[in-house]
Amino acid sequence: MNKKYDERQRWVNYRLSHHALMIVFVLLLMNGLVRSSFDMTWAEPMSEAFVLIAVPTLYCVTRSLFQGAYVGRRETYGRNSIAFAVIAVLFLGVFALAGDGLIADGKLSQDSTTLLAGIFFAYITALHGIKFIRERSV
Amino acid sequence: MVMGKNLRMKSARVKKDMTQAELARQVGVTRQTINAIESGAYNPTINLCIDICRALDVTLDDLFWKEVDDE
Repeated sequence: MNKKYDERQRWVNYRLSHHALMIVFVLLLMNGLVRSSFDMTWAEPMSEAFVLIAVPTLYCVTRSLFQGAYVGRRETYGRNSIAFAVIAVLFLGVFALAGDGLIADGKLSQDSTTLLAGIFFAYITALHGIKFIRERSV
Repeated sequence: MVMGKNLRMKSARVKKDMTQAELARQVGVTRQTINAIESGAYNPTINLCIDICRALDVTLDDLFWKEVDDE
């Protein structure tokens, strides 16, 4: 048993993981339908994988954070927020310096993964910041 | 499963002059978990019920037994 989380936090996370799995099924099915029915490739393989993983992950992180089940019993929102901010700045910095653009040949480019990862971590940073402020005000 | 509010637990905690955070620390859960139990959003396991009763010096019946009229 994971001692980092209490029983309600584990219950919340199990439930959200199940929701996330359903979202993955739907996204994979939709992606397959778009690619086979319309013969359309909307992204480079790595960007496509990132989007398909990021959507359910963000769903889980958002709901888990606001139900107080993401960071375990120690509630390290402030520290996590700084760590995620550093990662976000790194990704966004790399894209700003070396990225070739979001779209190439009418589809999400390989470089877009870096930008999307930056946005992904910036979003998680903001969520932790909001939660940190909310918890301090309780 | 959403249940009714556990006002008996809240009143036992207030009687002991404890905050949700203090009770949470004593039984080893987060403040949100105590809040969820009191507001009826979470149904705790028997082990957590026992820990809460010990921390508040009450019995399981005092806090968690439901009379037919309560339902």
